[in-house]
Amino acid sequence: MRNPIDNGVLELEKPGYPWQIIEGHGVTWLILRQKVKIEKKINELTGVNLDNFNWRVKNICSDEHCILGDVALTAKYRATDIDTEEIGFIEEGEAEECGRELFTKPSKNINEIIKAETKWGREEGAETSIFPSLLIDKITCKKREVNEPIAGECYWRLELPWQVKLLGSGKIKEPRIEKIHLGQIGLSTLLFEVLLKFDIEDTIPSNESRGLNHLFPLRGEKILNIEDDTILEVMEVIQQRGFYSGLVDSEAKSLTIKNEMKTSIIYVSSQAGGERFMVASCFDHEENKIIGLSSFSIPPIGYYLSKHDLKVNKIDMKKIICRYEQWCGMLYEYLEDDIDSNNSHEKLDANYSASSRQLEAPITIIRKKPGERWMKKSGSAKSEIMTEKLVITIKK
Amino acid sequence: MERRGFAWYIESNDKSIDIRKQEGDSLRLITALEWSKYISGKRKGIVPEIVQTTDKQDYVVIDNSLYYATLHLPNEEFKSDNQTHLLYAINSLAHIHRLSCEFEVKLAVDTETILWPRIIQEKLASLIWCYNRFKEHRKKTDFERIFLENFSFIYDQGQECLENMIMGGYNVRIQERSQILINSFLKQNLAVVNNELIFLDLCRWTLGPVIMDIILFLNSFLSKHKWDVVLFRKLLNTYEEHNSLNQQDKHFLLGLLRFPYRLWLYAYQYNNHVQSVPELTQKLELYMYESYYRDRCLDDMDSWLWGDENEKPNR
Repeated sequence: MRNPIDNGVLELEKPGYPWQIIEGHGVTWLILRQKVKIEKKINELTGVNLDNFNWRVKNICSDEHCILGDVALTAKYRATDIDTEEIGFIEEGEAEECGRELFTKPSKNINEIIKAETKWGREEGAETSIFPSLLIDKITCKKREVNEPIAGECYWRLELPWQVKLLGSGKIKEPRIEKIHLGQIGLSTLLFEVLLKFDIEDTIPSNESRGLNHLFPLRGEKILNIEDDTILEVMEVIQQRGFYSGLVDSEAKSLTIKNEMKTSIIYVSSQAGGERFMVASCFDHEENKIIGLSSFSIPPIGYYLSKHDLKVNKIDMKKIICRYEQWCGMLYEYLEDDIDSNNSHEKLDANYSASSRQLEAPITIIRKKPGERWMKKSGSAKSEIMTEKLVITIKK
Repeated sequence: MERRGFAWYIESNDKSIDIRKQEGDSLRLITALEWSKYISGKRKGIVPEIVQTTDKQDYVVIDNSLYYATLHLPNEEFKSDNQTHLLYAINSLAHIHRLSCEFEVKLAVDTETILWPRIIQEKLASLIWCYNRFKEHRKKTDFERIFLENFSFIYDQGQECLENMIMGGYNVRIQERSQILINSFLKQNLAVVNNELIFLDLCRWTLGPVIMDIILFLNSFLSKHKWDVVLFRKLLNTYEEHNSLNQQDKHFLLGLLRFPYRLWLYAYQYNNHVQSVPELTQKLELYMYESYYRDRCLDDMDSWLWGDENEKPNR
């Protein structure tokens, strides 16, 4: 089933400290963040070393896993004491006098200090940053050698423990650090960011052995626009689905499955000076119609998703196109006990269709008319009690 | 006639004069000229001498602009990085304040009483509002990052300002000791003549306690000297030789000096798009370094507040 191309506007999610998690089926991304304020003015970032990365897996159940570990980094930078800073006067007195009258005037309310509370667009020049930023792939990140201190260079070591949950069955791939970011985000503040990915190998639906039925594909294309940022590199697009409901049309013999979908993109921002590993999301309502099946007399008790297959292409700095394919299945569980009013037990099998089942429903005994039994004493009328049982057959 | 800075210079056989232009309020100019004549009558050399027209007028009106003339004296350019010039300036300021305490501003002027603790609290609240707003931005500018990084220090400075006012027993009486103030220390309006400093333009006067002039003066020039506490003490001592400050004045002075007034102004300009983000970011960065020096200087000045002149600065 293919949906037409549609557009989505991505909204930036607020960067989380000290961690931010994005979970999909079969994949989890973890962003670790830490800010460190030092007592000097940072002049230059010279590098970052990965000192340690270890992990271990704890299985909660067959399709839910807990992975935990820690990562240690060392940042290298150059800094000077603030005492040595020249103030480099830009203005003498103008700023003091410029706002004097403004300052001493009592404000009626806070909003007087801004002209408009609407979201103002970034003017030219606001997106660039004076602060440096180092983006490193894990593969190029080396361990720090203790015996190589360089004059004027400072070091800051950080250890970050973490743990994540990974949904899905199959073999867990080795967790990996995709990228590391060391940035300066203030006059004296360092920012550490680590981007980790956890995923499983297989795409087999987890409950196949329980009789997953009516598998159908979810396919589509989306053009996703991001407004408040620019994309350097797309790491992944994740779709999460939930809040399923089904609507049967018995005349058309179709089942419409409705659900909500959240599409999240994990990407590297091109703007330095702040967080570089960002998440942006949009929400959609999804409807898939399944037709051509004989009946849907009982509802499924679950919908299961395979690991999705997404192909992403960056169109420009603010737009990407993604093509997704994922398999969705409906689960019908065996009903162990089914007692009807006649005490007959019947088992339903997985291919239950109920096309010709008959149901019996007895009618209640008709009440006598008032005084009827005494009216029949002379023999002119019989005392009659309705004892017959009427059976109604309902055919489907 | 020759244009020099903000005045036209005219040289004649017997004297040289400067002609200045004043836009707007004639009442303001009239008061400034009367004040200048009042000071000149008591002490020469710290304010310009007014030169009247042939028909004994202090100023003329041409095309809705006001023009007045002052006697030109050979002078040396005022340099803010010259400590001696700063001492000349504070010396002249002290004389002007002392001599002006009985000068009456005859014309009605809107002088609303400034309730300083309330003003400070309002401005602190608006800084907190900025902080919360910037924190919510998903993507921040450099200005916002520097602001957020230093906000706790900034806020502490504001709180110390309020504490100083309370400890000084601030009350409305400080406003009641109002007199006419210079209210402007732009260096183009300052000139050094015969080892004294002349204030060339008095038209930006206002009314208030003398402390307001001292605060404006120190905030305008001490950053050039990294808020050197030794210079700071010299300036205040020079001022007090001619016009003493009471304990309440000193608390008020140290309190208001500590308030991050210019940061508030930059936040206002940022939110109202008065200047570009890169310009304001650079100004904010430099202001944060200045705040570090100022904070250290004012900590050292606590001993001056309690009257111990011999205590050395804490370094």
